[in-house]
Amino acid sequence: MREEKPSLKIRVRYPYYTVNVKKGYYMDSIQLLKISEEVKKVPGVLEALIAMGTDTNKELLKMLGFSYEDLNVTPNDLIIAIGAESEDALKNAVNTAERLLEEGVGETREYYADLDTALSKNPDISIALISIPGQYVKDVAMKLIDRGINLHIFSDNVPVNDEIEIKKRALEKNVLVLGPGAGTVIIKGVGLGFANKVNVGSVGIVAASGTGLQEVSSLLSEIGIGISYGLGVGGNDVKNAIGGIMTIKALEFLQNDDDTKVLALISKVPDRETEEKILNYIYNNISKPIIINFLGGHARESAKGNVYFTYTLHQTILKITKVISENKYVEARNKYLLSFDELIRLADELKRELSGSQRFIRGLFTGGSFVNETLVILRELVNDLYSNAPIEGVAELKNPFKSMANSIIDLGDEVFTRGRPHPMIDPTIRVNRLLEEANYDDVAVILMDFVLGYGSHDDPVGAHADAIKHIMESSKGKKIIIAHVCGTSEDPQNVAEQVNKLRSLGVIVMPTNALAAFLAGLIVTNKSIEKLKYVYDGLIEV
Amino acid sequence: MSLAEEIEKANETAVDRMMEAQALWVDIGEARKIIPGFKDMMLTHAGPPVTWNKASGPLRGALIGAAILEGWANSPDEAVKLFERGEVVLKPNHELNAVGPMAGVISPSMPVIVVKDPKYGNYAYSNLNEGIGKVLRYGAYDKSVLDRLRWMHDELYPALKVAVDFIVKEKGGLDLKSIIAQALNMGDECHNRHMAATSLFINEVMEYLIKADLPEDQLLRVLSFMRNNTFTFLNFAMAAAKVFTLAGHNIKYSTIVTVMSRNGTEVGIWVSGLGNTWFTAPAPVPKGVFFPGFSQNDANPDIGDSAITETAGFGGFAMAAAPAIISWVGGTVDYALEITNQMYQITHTKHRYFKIPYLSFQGTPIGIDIRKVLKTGIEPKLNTGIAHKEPGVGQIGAGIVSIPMDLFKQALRKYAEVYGIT
Amino acid sequence: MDKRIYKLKVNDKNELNILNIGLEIFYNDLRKQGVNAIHVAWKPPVKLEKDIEDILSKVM
Repeated sequence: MREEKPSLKIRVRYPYYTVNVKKGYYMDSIQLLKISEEVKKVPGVLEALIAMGTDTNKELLKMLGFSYEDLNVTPNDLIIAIGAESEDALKNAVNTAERLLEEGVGETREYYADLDTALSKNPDISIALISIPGQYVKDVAMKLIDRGINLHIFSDNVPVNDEIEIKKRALEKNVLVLGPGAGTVIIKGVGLGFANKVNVGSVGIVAASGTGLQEVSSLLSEIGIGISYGLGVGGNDVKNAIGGIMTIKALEFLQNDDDTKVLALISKVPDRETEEKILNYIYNNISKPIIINFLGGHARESAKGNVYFTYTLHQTILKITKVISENKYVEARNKYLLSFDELIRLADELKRELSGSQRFIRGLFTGGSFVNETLVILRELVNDLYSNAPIEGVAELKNPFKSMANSIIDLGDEVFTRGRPHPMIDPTIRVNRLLEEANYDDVAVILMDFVLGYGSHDDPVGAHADAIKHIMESSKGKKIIIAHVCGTSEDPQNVAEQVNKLRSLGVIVMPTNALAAFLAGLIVTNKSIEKLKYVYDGLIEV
Repeated sequence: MSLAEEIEKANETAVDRMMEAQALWVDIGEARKIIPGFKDMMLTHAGPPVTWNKASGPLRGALIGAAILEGWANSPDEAVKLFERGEVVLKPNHELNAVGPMAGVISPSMPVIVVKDPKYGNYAYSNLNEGIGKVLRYGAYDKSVLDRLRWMHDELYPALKVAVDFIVKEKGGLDLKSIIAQALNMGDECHNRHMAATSLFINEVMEYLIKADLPEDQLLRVLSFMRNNTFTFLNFAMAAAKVFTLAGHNIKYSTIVTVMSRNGTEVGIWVSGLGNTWFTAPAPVPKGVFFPGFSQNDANPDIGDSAITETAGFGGFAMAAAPAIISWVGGTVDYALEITNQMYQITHTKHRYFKIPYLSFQGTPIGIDIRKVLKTGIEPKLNTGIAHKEPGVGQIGAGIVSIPMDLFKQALRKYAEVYGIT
Repeated sequence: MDKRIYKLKVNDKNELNILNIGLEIFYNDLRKQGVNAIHVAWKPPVKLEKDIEDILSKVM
């Protein structure tokens, strides 16, 4: 046996190794650490160093036993050094490294434990998204406003006085405050909070209604009409206490934005004085076409040529496309509209499966605007209509946990969400309520919304599948479940898949919330066909 | 200058000194001869002052073992009576500029290393690391423990003595700061992971151990002992941390923490501008991962002077540098980064010399400022070994522990008193 | 004159920089969209006793 002379240098030799350099290839050091770790896990790999070509790393390279001749590498170049037991292992490791470099391993996080440090290290913040408990928002908001940072305040339960103070200061500092209670903001395709992945385009939306914004932006995007900005202003801004100041500022922003060609304003009905204020502002300052949708509002004739009024989100979508182009309008009608006759036929078909005692609708919604829109439609079609978030002409459901007659429930209401995640994230409460409602002999139709997008549960339909299956297979008499899915094909939860899943469970899926509500109403209504057509023309057609 | 400005200036001075201080290993000798103030019938220990009555299991075990080692008692029962009668003086290591890991018990005849800071003239001392498993510092005191300690005195100490004398003659002392800085770039954090540091240390002293011309079997036993104990360097790192922090101590107005230490019952801190005043609170029980057969219920409250490493800006504060330690204490790489990021919020600056390669060579967080701890609500966090609460069992796991907020409140109140803030 | 009232600052690559404070899921979603975002892990302000608050205000 040949004896090796003891060497003074500690040198580890690898049977197979490679040292490669990617010039000018910079990557974050934490990412590189993770990649090195992953590559070391490849079977047969003895050592791996994937790091930037700093002097220290070059030393480390030598220390780890990778010899190289005049390695021409600067700190801006990436070194990939791998030592393995076999040629195959080496090849696998190199492939793994290449793949991970391209795809990245997990995410790098930039994380701060306190706001002051975060701000001092990041001087160029465009916008801050705040989702801390309402009573603490003011201090954080003021600090950010004073630095000229625009705000998206997702938090609700911010005391009214705090909201007033925040918005006053924001006006002084020329800063936009979206919220409090704004679920959704879209900025040039980037979604903050609960938002869908939509195309970027020329429609700018101001919305005091999160899911309203989601519905309109999603449905427009799916027919190729993009959104420039979706500015959620939260539910309180249109109350007299606040006076719509940020709604108006948001409209001003869009009017002055070169990329925005068409505006939309979506809101539940503002307080009277505020409504006048907002409309006054619009008539005097907005020259671009604007579609105003006060959900549940009174009929209005437009006083100016560029101002249009709609009463449902559904109509808003159709109207926007009409203003943009005839082609888009036709496309929207094909995709999102069912004719009155079609709906009557469908309703008749479904009615046949019901037993005599079944006569009520139960709506279980995660989106407040969908509750709103549903009530706007159903109050024309049924009597005995209740909700825990009632509008004019609808009775208040005294106990939100116990439905009565026709009940449309807003599960995002505080009474359900205190100390719990929002139902768009956590389906537990709705799944249980669904099973409960399906047990009643007098319930005919159950209405639901499924909201996709960032922030939402990663498989909303899947989360309800067992419950729905149980209901459909139950011998307790047929329940008609009607749903609509709010989302886009780019959302993390593929909209087509969600729709298919629902259909395969026997759920009737409508393209818009308004159509779902209208269909439900048709099934249980006792109004005359003329009245029904009248409602259709007023709230569904444009 | 306003008070706040005075404080900033003082902190800047204190932390600058902590970073610029040097640490050379220059000697080794028996505690009674080497450590000024060390008396006979005295035992020093980790953490703030504690009485026998209040001492926890591991500390009691270590004290019993030390008493038998010194020949003050022939059995554990006799030793206990000795302590109950108050015949042995118990003193915190820190009050004599010494540090010891876990129970940290130093007895008069134990060999202690001397670390010198030639820049600011401070000296610090520590004992030698026994290894892992059944050891005195975890409260074990049976024959195997005492035999090992005797061997360390009889063979390890003389060998190291000859070696260090050579080193001092040749270059003034062994540069510990340089070993720490290098080890931080090699996957150690120098509190709970010393693999690289110990290797570098052995690398450095090898030549001198050979020159020492020891009998071959002794040399081999000495080498084997050090190589088989990856924690060999820990005590050196701690003594180095002690001289670093001494350099920043006693700076008027400074709110920088210069000692954090635990005795298994209480945890205590010193603040630079408040001198050697202890602020104490009950020591929390570390949370972490346990060796098979043990659980959180068996754990002793936090113990050891080794928090001096975090006080000096490495150890757990460089957790991001030691991915291996992270899984050992049950965390993830992300968690380590999170903690290091948190520590930046409560410290004065980033270390000029101790860098974390995987954080793009950012310096480690150094100089805990009591004001920042209170303002942010973030407690300093460290990694630590976890001892069984019964004496004699040993280490049962490893984890993470925080230094309680209450200490910083006490310190701030005292500060207001001392500096006349109304 | 810049007609935009509320300038949304962007970096030289014309990208937004977003600060997320509160729920971590929103930060994760922003990162998934490939946006420059930082996260502030907000905790309720430390409930300090009045005397500590007073002293802190004088020493910081």
